[in-house]
Amino acid sequence: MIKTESAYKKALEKLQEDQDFIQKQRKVLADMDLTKEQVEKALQPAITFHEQLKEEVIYYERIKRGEFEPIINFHNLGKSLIAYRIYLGLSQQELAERLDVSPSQVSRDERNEYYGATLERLQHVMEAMQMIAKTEIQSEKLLLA
Amino acid sequence: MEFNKDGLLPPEDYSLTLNELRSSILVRGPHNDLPWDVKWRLYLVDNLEALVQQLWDVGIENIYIDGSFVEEKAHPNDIDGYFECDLKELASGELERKLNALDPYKIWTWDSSSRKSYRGFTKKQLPMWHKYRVELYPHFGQPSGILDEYGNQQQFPAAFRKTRDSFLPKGIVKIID
Repeated sequence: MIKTESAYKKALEKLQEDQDFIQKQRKVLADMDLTKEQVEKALQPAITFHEQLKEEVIYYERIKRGEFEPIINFHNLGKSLIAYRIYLGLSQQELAERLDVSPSQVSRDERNEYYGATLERLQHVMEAMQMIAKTEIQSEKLLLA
Repeated sequence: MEFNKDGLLPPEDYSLTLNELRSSILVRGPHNDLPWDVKWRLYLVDNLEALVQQLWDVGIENIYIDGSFVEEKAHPNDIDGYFECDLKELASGELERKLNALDPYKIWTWDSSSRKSYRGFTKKQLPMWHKYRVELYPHFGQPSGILDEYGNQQQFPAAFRKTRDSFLPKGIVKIID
């Protein structure tokens, strides 16, 4: 997950490098004894890898705009807490100050995507960021309809 | 093997058998009071074993794993990795065919159009991820010979020896028989 502007910028650079690399690779492979179809097949892994990084970048841009995915049964609640901090433009250190904990505590919690955190701690983090998560209870059938 | 202050393995390739991996810090945890999902990590290694066995069966030997599984993260979403293979075998589709003949779910493909979303996840994932929560990429050597700032070949080997978000260098694990 991209968490900072500098990581975002590095990812953008990497996307450009990857694109250049794929193009160069396509040319190198075409000069070898491979058909066009075989060249594309050999490039599939690099293209998929590239597309995944692109999706990470798009996700970062979306959370910076304040566009969040619904949280289903608290799956990815931890990731949403990180996303909300990024949206606010708060550093881990600033969040730590609001929570009155050490920055390494926030760093560790985020690395673990808040795995193992108590409900009270999650609530505390949400309150420190004035984040509101509304839970709507539905039957599974209705949700999937 | 120990995690550094960034929660990463110091840059190096650590050779481990699957059983050594199961009893390593990566599965058993760093022996502190912090949460660590041993059961989930064991489950991931069991799934990895199924895919590694298929790769071994078709003669692939150099297999590396990385991603958050080799980082100090209590509950990594998956295992990422790559393996070295022959370009012609990959390009002809022969490798995929041989591997799919061994896999009951026919998950071996790296075609981006076969990726699907999974709820709450940032990016679409390959069929092997949906079935096994493991994603292994083929690497066939780089005819272009482009090297990165650490002298690694570009693309997979370089990408897998850095964190995915902040590009910090880190150690990875080579799976040996």
